[in-house]
Amino acid sequence: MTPVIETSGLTKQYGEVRAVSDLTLTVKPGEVFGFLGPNGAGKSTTIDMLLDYVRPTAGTVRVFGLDPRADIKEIHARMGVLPDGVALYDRLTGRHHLEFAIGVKGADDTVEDLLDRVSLDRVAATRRVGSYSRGMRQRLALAMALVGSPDLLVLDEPQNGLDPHGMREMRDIICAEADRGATVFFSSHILSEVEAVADRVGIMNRGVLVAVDSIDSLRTDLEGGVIVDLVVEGAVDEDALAAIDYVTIGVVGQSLTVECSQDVQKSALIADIEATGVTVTDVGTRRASLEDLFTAFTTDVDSTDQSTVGAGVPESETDETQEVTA
Amino acid sequence: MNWTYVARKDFADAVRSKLALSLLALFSLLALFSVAVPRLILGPDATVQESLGLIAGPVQLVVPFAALVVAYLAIAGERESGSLKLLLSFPLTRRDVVVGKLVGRSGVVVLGVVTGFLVSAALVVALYGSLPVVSFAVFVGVTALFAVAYVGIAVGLSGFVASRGRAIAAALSFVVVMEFFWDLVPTGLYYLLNGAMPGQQLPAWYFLLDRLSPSGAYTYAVELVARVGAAGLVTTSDSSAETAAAIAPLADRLVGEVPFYLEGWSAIAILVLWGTVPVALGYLRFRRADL
Repeated sequence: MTPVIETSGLTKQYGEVRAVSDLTLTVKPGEVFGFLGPNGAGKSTTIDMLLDYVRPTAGTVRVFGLDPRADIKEIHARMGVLPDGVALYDRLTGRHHLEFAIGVKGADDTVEDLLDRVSLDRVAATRRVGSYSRGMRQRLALAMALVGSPDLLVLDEPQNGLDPHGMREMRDIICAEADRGATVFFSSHILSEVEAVADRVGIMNRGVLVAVDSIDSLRTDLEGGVIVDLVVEGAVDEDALAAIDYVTIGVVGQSLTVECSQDVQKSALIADIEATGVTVTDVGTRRASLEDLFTAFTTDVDSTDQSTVGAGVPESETDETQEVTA
Repeated sequence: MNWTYVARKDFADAVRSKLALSLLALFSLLALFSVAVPRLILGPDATVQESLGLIAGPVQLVVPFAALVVAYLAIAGERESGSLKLLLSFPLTRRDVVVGKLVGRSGVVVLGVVTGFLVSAALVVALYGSLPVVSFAVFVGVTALFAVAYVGIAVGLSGFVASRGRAIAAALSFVVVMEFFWDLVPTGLYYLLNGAMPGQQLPAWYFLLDRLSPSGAYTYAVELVARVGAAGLVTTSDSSAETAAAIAPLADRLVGEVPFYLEGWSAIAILVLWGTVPVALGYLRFRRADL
């Protein structure tokens, strides 16, 4: 079966900055793929290349086996897109927007049905979009993306501007579309949103795809995992700590974060750590979550692998904070 | 033919703007004053020709600004706001977008021009009792072509730039160069070559340069209308020597034979080129752009 999305060595360079680096990714038909990463990680740039808004510096993109540069009409006829930071036409009504989408796609959807699917008020649809709230705009844009029952939905940060209720409805719509047989590719910086609906996730950090796996196997990897947080006194010898080979230790000042399996004896661990020349003054233990994994993936590149790619990639978002909400 | 959806969307969008409404009002007012003023000043002696002839001047000044204002953000505005990404998420090529924009915005400006002229036609009939229908229609047609040429220029410039600010700068620069300084080009070049100001007898290239700007071409095209339409829309009673000279048959003022590029239709051809070449260049640039 032809993959719905297939990229190979995909790279986008803006001057000195490499927004996306050597991205190789395959999304199979019927999959719900969550594209996860902090703002500025290269998610939007990747989506822009899938949609032919931005042209790759190197590498290839195929959507439905077709080249976006050559066959954009064929591809977009089978695709629904929710662009990031949805900008609509303020002077036109919601109905105008949907009628445009239905017309240009040659679809047989009705405006009323689309409004109902995204829970937009029919009266609101007669008003100019300029008067809409952010959530209403997001719903209208989603309704436009659903026109023509597309084979592929590309949703860039679909939960933006939605309240918790709206976010749940968005999840339900994504699941309903997947049940219909559509492939869904959606990006998010909110882990819980991705976790709730995605079959598989790809984690981007600083332009690099640092992990691709199913939620289940990510969870399996973590099973039984424990995080031990320690506060120590005395000079921290990072090399000596790294030599303790049955755990992974992160150091921030006098705080140590130790990832280990449940079998590890805490007393033995503390003894080994104190053997490096420090005194442990405080110990806390918690179970590892997907969030820890996400945090590990999106910060490790920072501290241990800086040579991989250009740092500080500005994406279209202005917000550069590495916000992760569980 | 997916560009038709872009054109309809764009027309519907632009027609709802206060801008388009004020344009319509401006054109109508302009037409009213142009037709009514000679009658009021000259009294019952004023002719239809004198009245209509007065419209050409203000039209030549207002149409470029109106067209640029309506169309300069056609592409750059949507690019800056991000709505272009929504538009292009549908089965549309970038060519569909450019063609749709050109047609949609042209529709708005032509609507303004036609409304203005209809108002003036109604007033002409009311004041003078009759209207030279054929020359009037051709006059409206040439003016509409002039307006579309400027929309083409604006959409083309809009495709070249990525932001509103640059789009404004490009449109303003163009109108200043073409509407205010272009007149100096043939004169200046003549002076450089001959060491004297242009006289009554001039070489063919002088006339070509003179009609190469959009409004230059429009002036000549209107002159063509004046000769085609027996009624003579452009007033010849204007006392200024400059106008008289411009209206004088070209052959009398030209050194040598009238070359093909100075035939009457060439002004029309130049307007068509202004309406197509800049927008084609803008498209070629826009086609390659990262949004």
